[in-house]
Amino acid sequence: MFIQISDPSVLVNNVAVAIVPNSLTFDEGLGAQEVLVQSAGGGQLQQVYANDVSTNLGMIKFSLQATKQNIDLARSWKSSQNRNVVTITATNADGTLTRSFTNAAICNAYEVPLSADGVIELEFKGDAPTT
Amino acid sequence: MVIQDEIEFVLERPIEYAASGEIAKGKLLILKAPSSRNQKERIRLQQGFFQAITALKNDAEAKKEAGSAEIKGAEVLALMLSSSVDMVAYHEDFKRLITSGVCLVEGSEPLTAPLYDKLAPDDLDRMLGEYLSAFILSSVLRTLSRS
Repeated sequence: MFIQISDPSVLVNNVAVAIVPNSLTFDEGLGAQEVLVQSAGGGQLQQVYANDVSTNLGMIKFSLQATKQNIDLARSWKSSQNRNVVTITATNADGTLTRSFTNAAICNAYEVPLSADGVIELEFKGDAPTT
Repeated sequence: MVIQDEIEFVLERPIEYAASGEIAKGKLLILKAPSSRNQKERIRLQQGFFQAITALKNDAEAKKEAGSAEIKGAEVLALMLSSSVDMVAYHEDFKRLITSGVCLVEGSEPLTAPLYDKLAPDDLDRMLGEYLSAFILSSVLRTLSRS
């Protein structure tokens, strides 16, 4: 039996952050690859593997409840430009998953909904995460 | 006894921390004196120390040691551990105090609760003793050394 990871701890710049449950998604920053083909004539085909390094970026997004503290935190991270570090850790019976995103910046123009069920959706982009 | 504003503390086991977008290894902690904002934790720590030396009042050597104006961090910790003071709760009070902005990793990044949790137990014990000796007990020790 295996257990789905759904309850990670999130640290941004050494500070623990409480997020909206089930809102965290990340990209390993391994980028997009393409498998192409070239023709050598006479019916001979050769495969060409292409790595689109322009997509080798780490991404992590999650949502925060729109509390005063979280609104201030999001603003400070946005102001820090790409000088943020986001680390996620998730531990369950299967082991521990850790990813650290360095030089991370909030790239989306996030909105702050001041409503009972409003959440702030943040999307960081930075270096491909380290484990 | 000279009252200090801050002391340097070197970790035996460095910790990883985030600084300016990168992950760095921190070895040097700058410990600053508590302010009135930390009054609650400061008083609890002082009170714990007083309870420890009161419990040991029949031990002349221990009292003499506690009353010395030159008491060192390791001696403070040994005294506390040999008393009946609840050291688990004592550590919790210390954690609240030290993560409230009075400790800077490499002089720049505040020691937060997650960073505190990364500290090696030996470093933590030494830091508690040094911090108590330098800041929390300084006024108590002055009083004791005069008496």
